[in-house]
Amino acid sequence: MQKWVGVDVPDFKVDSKPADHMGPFIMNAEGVGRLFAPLALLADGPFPEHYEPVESPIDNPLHPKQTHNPVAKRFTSADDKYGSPKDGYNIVCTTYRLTEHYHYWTKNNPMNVQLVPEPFVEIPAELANDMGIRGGETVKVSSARGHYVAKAMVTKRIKPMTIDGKKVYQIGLPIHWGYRGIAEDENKTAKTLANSLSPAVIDPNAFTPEFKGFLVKLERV
Amino acid sequence: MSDHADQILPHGRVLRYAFAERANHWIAAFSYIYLLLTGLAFWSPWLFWIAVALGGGQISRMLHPWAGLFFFYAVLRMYGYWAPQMRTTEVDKQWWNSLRHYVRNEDEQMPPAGRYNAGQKALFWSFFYAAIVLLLTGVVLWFPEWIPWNLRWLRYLSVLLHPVAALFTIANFLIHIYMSVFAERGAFGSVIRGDVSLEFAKRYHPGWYEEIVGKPAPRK
Amino acid sequence: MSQATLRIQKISGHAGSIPGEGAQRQSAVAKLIDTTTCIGCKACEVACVEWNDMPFSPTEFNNTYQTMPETRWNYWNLILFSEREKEDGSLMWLMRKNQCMHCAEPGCLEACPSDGAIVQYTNGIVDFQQDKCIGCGYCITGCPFNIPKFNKETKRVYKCTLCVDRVGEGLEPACIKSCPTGCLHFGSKDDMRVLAEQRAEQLRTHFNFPDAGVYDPPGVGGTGVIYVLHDAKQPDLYGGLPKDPRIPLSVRLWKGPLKWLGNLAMVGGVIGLFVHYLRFGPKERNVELKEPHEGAEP
Repeated sequence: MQKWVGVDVPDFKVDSKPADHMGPFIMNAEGVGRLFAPLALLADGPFPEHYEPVESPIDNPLHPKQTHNPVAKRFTSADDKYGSPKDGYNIVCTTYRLTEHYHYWTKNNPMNVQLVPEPFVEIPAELANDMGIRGGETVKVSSARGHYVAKAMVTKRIKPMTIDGKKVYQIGLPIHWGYRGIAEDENKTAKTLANSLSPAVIDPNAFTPEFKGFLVKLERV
Repeated sequence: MSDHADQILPHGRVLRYAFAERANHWIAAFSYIYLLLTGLAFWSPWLFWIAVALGGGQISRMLHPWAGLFFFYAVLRMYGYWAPQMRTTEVDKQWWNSLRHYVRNEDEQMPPAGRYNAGQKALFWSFFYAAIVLLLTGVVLWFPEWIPWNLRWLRYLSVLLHPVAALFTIANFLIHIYMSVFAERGAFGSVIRGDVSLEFAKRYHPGWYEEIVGKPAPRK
Repeated sequence: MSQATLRIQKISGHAGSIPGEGAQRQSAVAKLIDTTTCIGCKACEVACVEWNDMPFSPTEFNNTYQTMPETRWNYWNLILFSEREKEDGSLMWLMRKNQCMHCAEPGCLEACPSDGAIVQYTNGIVDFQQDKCIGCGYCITGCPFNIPKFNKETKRVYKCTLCVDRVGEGLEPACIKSCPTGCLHFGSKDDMRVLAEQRAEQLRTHFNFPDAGVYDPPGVGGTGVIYVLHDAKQPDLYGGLPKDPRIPLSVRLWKGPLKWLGNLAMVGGVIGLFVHYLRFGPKERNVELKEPHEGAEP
């Protein structure tokens, strides 16, 4: 017998097929639930929809023919290039912040620098094994737009993902280092910026850039 | 100065220790006294005031290992001077059997000891090996911050063996001082001016007397 | 001055009795560290450095979020990070705040030969008095937790003071004040034990941590810093927390039986030799001098 399942306990006939239009939402005339969306507010609306980031290892599972957001703002300078798995960019990359640093000014503060002195790239242990990378070794992360050089942090905390049947690795970069700073001025870092990797693609509603998911390739230096 | 051509000197005396040996002995002696005093201060809270009196706890801790190096150097020189004469002989076995007589000062009942009697040989080796243990454990205790956590057994061993070896040297020291200052008259002079009387040699080291003079010592 | 001396119950390298011993109503304090709610934010590390005005020292990347491999003379509080893979394949990122445990029976104090260099206050805090420290490092050997750290320039040892200067004024330690998740608690040892046991029970009953428990090792008489661990049966997973810490055997032998034997032997030896001299005198007393020469010695 097929039945309605979920967290709630249904208060209607639990094996009523959808085609039977049982109408459980008894307070609505049409008997079905309603979704509201302000018509003018979402540039890619009316309803929110899943789109893959502009660089993705897969096609959109919901509708492969429209993988990306059609109204995401893309800049058109010569640097605004995009990569894909067939160009060799087969590792997902994300950027994030650390507790020990704040944006780009704590790299100038001795206490913060003492806590985390150097930039690093967090790499899953399995990927590091495959590529023969050991923790502490210098690696180079490249995207279609730029490159980033830092030491590898090999960790079991990041596990490989299976996305649409494919094994996909993810690596992560803290953002907090740049051209100047305590470590930079002592030439202890490569002075590369995390956001030279990420794409300048802007969410059409919130205008936030797509810094959190893009494709890169990884190599030892 | 371990050659057996011990010089006969005027007025019935013979040279037992040359200048180099005597000087070396006093390097050992003074450094040992400093080690003993500061060591006892570290050993017991009741005696910690000794370190305070000798320049303070920090200074004593700082100088104790250096004095130890001086002491060990002197002990090594002594090994060079005397070790060949400190080998065990047949006479030594008999000497230990007659220990009761020795303690009771019945020296005429003792078998004829050579340049060194069995007790002195035992003291020599005891000091020598204890000094090695003290040096090795002492180096660990000198730089404890250089021994990492995973080698801490070295520190555990040293912290116990160092005082144990030190106690051995203290036992030796007490006997040595007693014998050389109080019990055997003439012995102290041997390490200051170097010479002893032929009577002294005859009485306490008949074997050595025979080597010097060429004929056996008359038995009393 | 008398107020200060009465608040000390144990003194290292001290002969005789201690004026503050048993002279105060016991009110041991304790720091409770709940490792199950620690997020490894290091606010406590920063608070300790800032409160104690400690100079910065260089650190380097070592494939971990951990600030440095161990505490230093100028870094008394350190979060130790370790990744634990469980049998079911899941991963736990364990974080333990590491600092002096303020043992009730401190190995450092036991081993220290210098009078007054290490004291234990009546509230249980163990404090180094660097002006009396002689820099021998015996405390490093006495400690089962690898805490005291030596400074090569000053030749003294340093460690967490449990903010005795703050506690003395009725404030909580700086680390406790800074913790954003509330995983650090401070109060009387009894209260902290109750709190810890409650939390451990909650973990066992509701959070599927059947081995959760409180770490308060009896081998050192209990500690002024106690932990709630997800897995109290394997404390070594938490950055090498020793399972059954005790003062090392060689230190206990040295300060116990060897002290007695040694003192007995030394005093006995001196007395024995003196008695021997009284009884037997020097060796040549019975000898009649033959052919005495002028200036010759017997």
